[in-house]
Amino acid sequence: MKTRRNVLAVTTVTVATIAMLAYTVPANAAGVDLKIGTIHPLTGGNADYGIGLTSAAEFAAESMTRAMKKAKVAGSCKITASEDDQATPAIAVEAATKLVKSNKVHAIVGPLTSGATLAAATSVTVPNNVVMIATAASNPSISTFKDNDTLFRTYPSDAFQGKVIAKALQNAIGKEGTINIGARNDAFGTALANVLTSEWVKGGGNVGAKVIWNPDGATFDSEAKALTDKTPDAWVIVDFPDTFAKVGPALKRTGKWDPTKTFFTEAMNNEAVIKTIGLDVMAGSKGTAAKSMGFEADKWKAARKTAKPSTKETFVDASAWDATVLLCLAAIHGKSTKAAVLSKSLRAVSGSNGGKLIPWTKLGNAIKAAAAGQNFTYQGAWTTAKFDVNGDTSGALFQIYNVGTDGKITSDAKNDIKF
Amino acid sequence: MTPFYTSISKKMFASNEGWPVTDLIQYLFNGLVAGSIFAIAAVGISLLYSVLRLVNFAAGDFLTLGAFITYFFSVTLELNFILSIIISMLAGMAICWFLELVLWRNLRRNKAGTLALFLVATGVALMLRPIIQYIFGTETRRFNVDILKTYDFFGARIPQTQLIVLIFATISILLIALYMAKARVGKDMRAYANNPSLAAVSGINVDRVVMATWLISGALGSLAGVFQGLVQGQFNNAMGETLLLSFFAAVVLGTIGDAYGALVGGLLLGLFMELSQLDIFFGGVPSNYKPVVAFAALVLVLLFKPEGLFGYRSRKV
Repeated sequence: MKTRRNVLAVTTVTVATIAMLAYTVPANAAGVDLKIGTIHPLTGGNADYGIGLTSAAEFAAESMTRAMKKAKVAGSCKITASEDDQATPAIAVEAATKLVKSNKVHAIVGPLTSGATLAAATSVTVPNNVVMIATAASNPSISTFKDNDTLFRTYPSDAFQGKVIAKALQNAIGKEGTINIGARNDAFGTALANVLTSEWVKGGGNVGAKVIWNPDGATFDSEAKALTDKTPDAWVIVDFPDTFAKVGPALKRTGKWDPTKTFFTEAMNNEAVIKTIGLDVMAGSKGTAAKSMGFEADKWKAARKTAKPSTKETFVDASAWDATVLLCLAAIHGKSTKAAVLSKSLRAVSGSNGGKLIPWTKLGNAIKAAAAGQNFTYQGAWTTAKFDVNGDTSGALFQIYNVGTDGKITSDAKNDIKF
Repeated sequence: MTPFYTSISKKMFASNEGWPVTDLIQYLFNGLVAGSIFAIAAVGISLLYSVLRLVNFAAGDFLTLGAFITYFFSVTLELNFILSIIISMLAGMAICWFLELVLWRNLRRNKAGTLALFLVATGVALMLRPIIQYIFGTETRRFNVDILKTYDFFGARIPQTQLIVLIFATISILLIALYMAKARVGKDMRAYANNPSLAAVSGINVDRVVMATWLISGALGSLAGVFQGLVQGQFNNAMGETLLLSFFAAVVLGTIGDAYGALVGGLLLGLFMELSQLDIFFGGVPSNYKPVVAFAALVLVLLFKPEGLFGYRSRKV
């Protein structure tokens, strides 16, 4: 009986000890299993962009996990769920809630739009202390948003783009020209319209008309009329494809609007989008868009095409690749999935603290450096982030694109503007 | 020498010179187009409420469905456009008929209250949306019509498609009004809406009235969807739900449950929204405040006539 008791006691103590050890010490001290969720529009007018970004994030996680194995660094980096926000703030909040509460992700890549980003951050990621890297949100107010250092972005702020459009307009119509601005009524549209107005007037130009439209409007002919009543030297349109597909024909019907004197923003920098809206509306127009300033961007595009051949390519896909890779590197660097550690390590691996350059083509080297706790500068396929105190990237490159009569988009690198 | 009247008329109709006539025509036309679509959709909602006390929250999605079905027959299967619209209206009627038989009739028999019916209608809307998305996708669609052709009318630009929509919407509105006033079932619907118990004991075939209400509502929903798709030039799966609030505003403005009121309410709402941009209104209300103007007008009307514009007449009938 006594022997049986002793055996039972020893067994209990042994099981308890093993359980405690298992709880307190990871299987491998360097191994962190990072769970990432993505939020992008997978349906609706911005779906082309959302699908491309989601695919790029998945490609990044797969590449990182493979590279970690090869570098013999334990742990993993996984996209555990990809949510569709339809570029709508309310749906983005639902998506973020699901990712944080149900999927228990440690970080989020996305959303695409400023409105969705600000909504998801305000309602979900900031209160729940989850790191989020927006992939194409450009509203300047994201920089000063009170986020407890959890909100980052790999896409440049419209504080830059406002200047770029003003510069492009100055080259096209001179400094003192008159422009009419049409913009969608949301976080992206109104903010960029205001930045542009300020930049344009500061440079000596005039704004003849500024028309802000509700994307949910029943008709847009009155807005088109207001935008064309006084003929300017140029128009600037800040809109998304699904809304401009309705505004564009209304503008054309006024008989006063000239697409060849019109500048768009990045949302129209896509040939599929041009085709959907219609060549009769878009041909001859121009636009500005952020451009990859990453290391060997074309090589990345080719690698992605091989890995994900069915995904349609958009100009901004690599932004999600970089966001995902940086999160994985930060988790390895900080040896933790906690938000505070991830935020600190995101700066350590993105070059904010200096350190040697390691391009995306050498993920193994970046992983080893991160595992060793070194500061280094990850050179991404989209950007070299060097996140500042606001979580913004430190530089930006913009292109001026032209829409041909055949719907093809071209741009001349000589006209690129770098910050 | 240019005759005096020519010079004056040129000035009056040249909007850039500050004479508002051209602007007035343009905004009036835009308002009538938007308002006629609100009116058609609002009549369906109002009829359902008056007869069944049902707040049809799925009305916006029936609108979207109508546009997509027309698109499928006219663009994908390349059938005649008018024929496609008729098929779409028949499909709208068939779905409403089916839902009446399997859902609404049973709910009424089980004495479901207005709130329960409203919640079920919301459920139908939430089911319809993903079904539409699954079947038709989320891409932006466009009917095979020339949406860029316009006519010049005293300096105002009148788009061909919108003119056609306005003409057909006016015909539809007149037909509905005529049907409600003259047809036996229309009269029965009004009688039943006014006093269901009395109507039932006076020999009115209640099932026939209810079914007719659903069929009219289904047909109007599809028609409004096609009209809206034509006016916008392009549409996607979110079209109907974004307009739902305006439809209900039109219903409330014209008195809840009054079909004639909904017609007028819809037209007024569209006119309020568009005409508010005329210069004479404080230099023109910015277009992003159009809904604010419309709803402010709605609140003002309700302050003085809480029962809506046609409330008195409704009580009297």
